[in-house]
Amino acid sequence: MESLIELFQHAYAIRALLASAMVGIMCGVLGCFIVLKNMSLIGDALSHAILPGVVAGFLIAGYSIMGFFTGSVVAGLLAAVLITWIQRNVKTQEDAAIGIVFTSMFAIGVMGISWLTRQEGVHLDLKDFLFGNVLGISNQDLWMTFLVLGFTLVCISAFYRYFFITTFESVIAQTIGISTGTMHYFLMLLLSFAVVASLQSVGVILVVAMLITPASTAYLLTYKLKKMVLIAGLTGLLSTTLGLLMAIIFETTPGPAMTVTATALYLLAVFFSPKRGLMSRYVKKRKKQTKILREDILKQAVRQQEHEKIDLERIGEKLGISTTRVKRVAQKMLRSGEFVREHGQLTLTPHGTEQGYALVRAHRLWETYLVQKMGLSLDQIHEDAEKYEHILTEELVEEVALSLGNPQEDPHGSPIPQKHSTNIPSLASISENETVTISQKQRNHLIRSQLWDAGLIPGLAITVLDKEGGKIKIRLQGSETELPLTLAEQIRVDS
Amino acid sequence: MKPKSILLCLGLLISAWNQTFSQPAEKPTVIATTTFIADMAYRLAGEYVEVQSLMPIGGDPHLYDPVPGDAKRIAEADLILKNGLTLEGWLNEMIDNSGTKALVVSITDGIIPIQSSDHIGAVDPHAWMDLRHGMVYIENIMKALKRIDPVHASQYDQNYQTYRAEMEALDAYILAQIQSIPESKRVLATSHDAFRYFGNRYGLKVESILGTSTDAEARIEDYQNMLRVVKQYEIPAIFIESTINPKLLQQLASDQQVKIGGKLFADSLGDEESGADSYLSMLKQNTDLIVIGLTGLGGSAIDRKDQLFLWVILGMFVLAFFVVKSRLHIPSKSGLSWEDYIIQIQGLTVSYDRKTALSNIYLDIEPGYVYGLIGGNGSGKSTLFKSILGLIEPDAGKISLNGESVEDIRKYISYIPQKEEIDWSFPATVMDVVLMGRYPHHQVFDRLAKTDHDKAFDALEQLGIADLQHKQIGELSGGQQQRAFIARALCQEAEIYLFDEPFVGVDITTESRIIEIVRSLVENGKLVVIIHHDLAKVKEYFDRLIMINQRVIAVGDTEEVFTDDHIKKTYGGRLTILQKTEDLQ
Repeated sequence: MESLIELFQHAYAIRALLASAMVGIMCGVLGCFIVLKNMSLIGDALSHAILPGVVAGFLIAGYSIMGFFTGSVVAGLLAAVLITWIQRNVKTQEDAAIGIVFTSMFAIGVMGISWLTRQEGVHLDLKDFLFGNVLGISNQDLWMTFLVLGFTLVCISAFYRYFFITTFESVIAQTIGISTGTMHYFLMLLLSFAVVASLQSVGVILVVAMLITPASTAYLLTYKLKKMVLIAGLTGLLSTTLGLLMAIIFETTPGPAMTVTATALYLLAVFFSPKRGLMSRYVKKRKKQTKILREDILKQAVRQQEHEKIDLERIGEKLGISTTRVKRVAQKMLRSGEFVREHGQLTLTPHGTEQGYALVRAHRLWETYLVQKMGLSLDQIHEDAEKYEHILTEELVEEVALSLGNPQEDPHGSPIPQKHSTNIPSLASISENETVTISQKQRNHLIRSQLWDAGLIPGLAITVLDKEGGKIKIRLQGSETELPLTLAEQIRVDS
Repeated sequence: MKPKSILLCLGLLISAWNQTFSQPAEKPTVIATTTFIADMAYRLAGEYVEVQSLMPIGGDPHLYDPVPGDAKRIAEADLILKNGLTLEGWLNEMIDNSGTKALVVSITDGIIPIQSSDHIGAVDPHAWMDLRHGMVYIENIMKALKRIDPVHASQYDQNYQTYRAEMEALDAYILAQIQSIPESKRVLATSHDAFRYFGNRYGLKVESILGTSTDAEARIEDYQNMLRVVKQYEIPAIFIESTINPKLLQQLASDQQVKIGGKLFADSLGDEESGADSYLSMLKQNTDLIVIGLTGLGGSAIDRKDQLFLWVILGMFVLAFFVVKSRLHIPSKSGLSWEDYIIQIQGLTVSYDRKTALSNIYLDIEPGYVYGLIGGNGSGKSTLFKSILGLIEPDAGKISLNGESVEDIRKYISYIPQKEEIDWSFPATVMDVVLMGRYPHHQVFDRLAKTDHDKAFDALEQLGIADLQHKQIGELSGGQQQRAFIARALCQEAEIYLFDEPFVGVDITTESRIIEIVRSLVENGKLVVIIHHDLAKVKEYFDRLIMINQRVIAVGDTEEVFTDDHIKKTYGGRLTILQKTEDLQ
């Protein structure tokens, strides 16, 4: 650690750190658009294709950063133009066109270097080009990188709308008159700049990693492009700087260390991203499975309770799962109020009973629906209903019931439990001047959130003033509010 | 057989031919691996032999990559002079493979090498930097020359004596010169470790960034070591080498504010201009540069002319920025009257790769009616839309919208693409997408204003999905996605609306909501065309119908044109004659 602090008192180490940081941000930000346009290979292509430009620049200007920069950018743009031309005018697959152009340009560059070393006696090391050389960053390189980073950020923010729409859907962009060609080549230009500025620190091969990996990481973490660009920039910054520190601590080459860091961050996102991560998908799946299991147990319990006591062992047998698992879930349901234990015997609470019957109702109604409306035969319907009883919302179940004319029996002849609508009255059913409280148990979260928005917090007492013209006027805590009657119908109240 | 060996065989054949048919008086050929060896051989042999160097002037022997022509030259040679001591790692294999009959002489024989700095057990090949070793070199060369050309032995002896005398004089000169540097400053800091023999002989401490070979990368510790040396001895100058990229040392010199003492030659001679075009002049020039540099009398500070370069880049950036800005400017006519106009299509013909998509279409479309555009797969419905939108170049024909060309009035045209064309996993929210409808109302650098957000929100409310505005578009159901795109079209406040299959994959409520909105658009005098392919609801939805099958089958009030005959023509037995003629082409 001490040696690290000592190290960063040297100008060259600070230069390396600054350059890496800038390259990380730049590549991360630009990478977003490349990744979203499915053009990841283009970054690879441009970075390789600039080699002949480096050679040409050297021939004209010697060891000059100017020759190097100009040659590279020209070669990068040339590659972009050639690739696009082939894709549009020749019957070649798009990725094949990219492959042909960049490999041939790279090959010409390698030949050029070989020729240079022989004819001109120049020590132009291909390895520096491939893997970069963070130590060799000069003040001029640093300034150049700074300018490129600044330019990139200014352009992305100034033309953000245009980048957004052309990346999202170029046909829509075209129909509102945006020159998608301009935007395409502009992005290629920025990309060429970024690649050239990154070569010294990460090299051709790994610049591709800096373009793709942080952007892909960000893609997993957000659903908004602005945030994605921001996160990608930060991830890039983190990858390069951490990578450089790792390289110093473990005495290894910086470029690969940066790439490995970027990949590690990516893997973290793959597993733990709350939006698109494997972990959250697994948790969601588990939650859904648990919900289904609870509902299955409820359904069995309701049926058992009709003629005997609830026996968890038999429920386990019926569902084909172990008794211990059933007991574990039942324990949770005790806590959440579906079951209650009286004298050592498990019984359903009224709330649990209602839910259980609602499930049986959904199951049997769906079976009826499948037979009557879809024309399926009796042996085909059970499986499907087992699935749908967990998915159908209360509203949909009632819609199904309505469309079937509120049947009393399912196709197997079993009775369909009726909705206990009288149990919990809705706000719409309350007569004028009556005072009720808003129920804690609303039908779904959508209604709950609408209630919160309207300031109707569950547990509050409200008084109905009058109902007129599709509106209901209520008073709560001294102030008066109006609600649409359609909403009031869905709000449960306790009287 | 590998190509390389084929070439070698060819080389052999040629050399055999040469031996058989060439004049017996031809001079023997001497191949030196690198430039200073060639120089030594030339000094000794003069005109009696033909001397060639494999490496060009300025070539770096560590990185040299032999070409096929070298194999030929080796095969034809009579004498090959190599430095040995691992300098020419690539050479032995070539000599073995070439089957040459030449005498191969390692001219460092008899020199005790010093250990290489970077690999344990390896030796440092740069022995020639010490003139006493140089004398061994020329002695070995002289002996070899005598063996292949005994006729001129006495001349070789004589040349050797002269050359050796010059070397002794230079050796004494260098010793004396280095003595003139203050003792504490006798430190030579340079690119790679080629000067250790030199340092050992003449009393200089040698420090370098790279090891003995240039084929390595500078590591952080090497660089730090160099920094330490420069500070510790307070040396006034460091030196770059002719064959190595000077960047690293130039930057170091600039950081530490020491001078660059000049370009030293070690691995290769320079050209005539460099002043180091022979072995002796190379050593003399190196010595003079070192003495001037380390006594603080000469050397150059790093020049700053490349600062200009940054300004040039900045200029390029500003230029690019404004070029892009001007290219993105959307020309838009305003003050147009949108009453009693038509979309007029005259003689439109479009083809892709010789396949006709639309042929000779004449159509007038007016605002105030809901137009349905129907036809089978490949009937050219989408092509017609793309032509109206100016996305494809027609082969023939003209399209005029309210008397204008599409480029001038893009703002007034809204296109709702098919759902399949959208990447629904894109990181965009519903609001982002709807706001795109406001883009045509703004110049390049305008920000979207509060009114734009309000309009977008109103459009979302009209479609009943305002509560979904912050959802990512992929999280919506098919119907909601379609609603979002229609909201985008609405808040564009266009005059012409082109819907491409809006009812595919949407629920019934959405479908009726879309139809309601379309109705109200039409009542407000907008022009609406909807591509549709489900025939069931045609009569219910559309006031007028355009039926196409690469050409116009029928246009008119739905009640009149939606007949069995037209439907058959539109969907069945299509392309019979057209396709046949195409197949004939």
